[in-house]
Amino acid sequence: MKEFTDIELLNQFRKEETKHYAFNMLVRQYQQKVYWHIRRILIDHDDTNDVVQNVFIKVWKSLENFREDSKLFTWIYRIATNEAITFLNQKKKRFFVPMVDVEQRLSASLNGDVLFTGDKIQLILQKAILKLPTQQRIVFNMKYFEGMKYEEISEVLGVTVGALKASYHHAVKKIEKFVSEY
Amino acid sequence: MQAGNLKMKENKKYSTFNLSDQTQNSTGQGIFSVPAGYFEELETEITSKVTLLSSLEHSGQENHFAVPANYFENFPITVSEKLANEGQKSKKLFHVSLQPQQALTFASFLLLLWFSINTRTTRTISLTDTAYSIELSNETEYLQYIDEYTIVDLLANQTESQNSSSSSDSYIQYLLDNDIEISQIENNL
Repeated sequence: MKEFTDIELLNQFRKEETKHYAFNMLVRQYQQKVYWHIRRILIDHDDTNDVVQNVFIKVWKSLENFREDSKLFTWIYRIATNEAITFLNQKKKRFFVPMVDVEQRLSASLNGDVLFTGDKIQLILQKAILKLPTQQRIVFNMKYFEGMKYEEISEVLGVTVGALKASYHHAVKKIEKFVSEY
Repeated sequence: MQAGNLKMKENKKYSTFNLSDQTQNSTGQGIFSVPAGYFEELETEITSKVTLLSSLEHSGQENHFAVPANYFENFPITVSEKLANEGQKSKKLFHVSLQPQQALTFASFLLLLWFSINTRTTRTISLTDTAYSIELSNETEYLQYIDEYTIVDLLANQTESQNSSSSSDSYIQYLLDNDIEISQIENNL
């Protein structure tokens, strides 16, 4: 599939006759990155599917007003992260449980999840990640699994590079501790 | 100064004694003990944890989550459909859109409401009617037990009172027509 630049996509989206085509290309281009980013936060596929759809609906509604202050990818990632966090908070409110319990439930759901193909080691790693506070977990996922640079993560989350480095360092230490005690 | 040197010598002696004591029990078995087979298990445990950590380092970054078949191929279509639905929803924001089943339920509800109101009104009327008819039938029944003289007397009284009222009316009218004061009559009397 041909990769479109931000400018190409935006120019085509702003023309009425190519608007739908451009949006379709945008979805195809970013759907997997957005999906995996959210899936690592929400763990469950169905929840992820709902949130990813909402993310692209929001992108469609707001793309007209996108000011190009940042890269299109960064902007979409920011929407995706916010939507995932909002979803987790809503889940917490819906079941009247603290966030720790929501993440414990997610951790437990991994055991029987047919859409989780990892071995025992991977299961332990995911459980260790789910023990982290949400923000730290997101930072760890973005750095470790998605291979993003601190500068990119900083743009998405609006957190300084220094704070991100500290957050990642703490996350790694906690995971190592959890794994070695498992 | 001398006292200080003495103390240091004593300390050295003490520490030499301790060290030699420690070297005698270099395995520590004399002071502490461990559970049976502890060191064998420890070795296995450390090896497995090191293996776990090193395997995480090597394979950790791989993606071990999966999606249903053709999920990403169909996803753009799903989003387009959702967008179309969103558009329809916003257009119909001020319209009442009912599914056939909902419409049927709503119609049934209205029908029930109408019946309920209608039945209540009818019941009220029929109740009044019944009360009236009972009263009437009771009177009719009662009339059977009154003898005809009583009835004649009653009717005669009613006629008389009607006549008296009508005659007094005519007197007043007469006085008004002829401009006669009541005080004048009283004086004449």
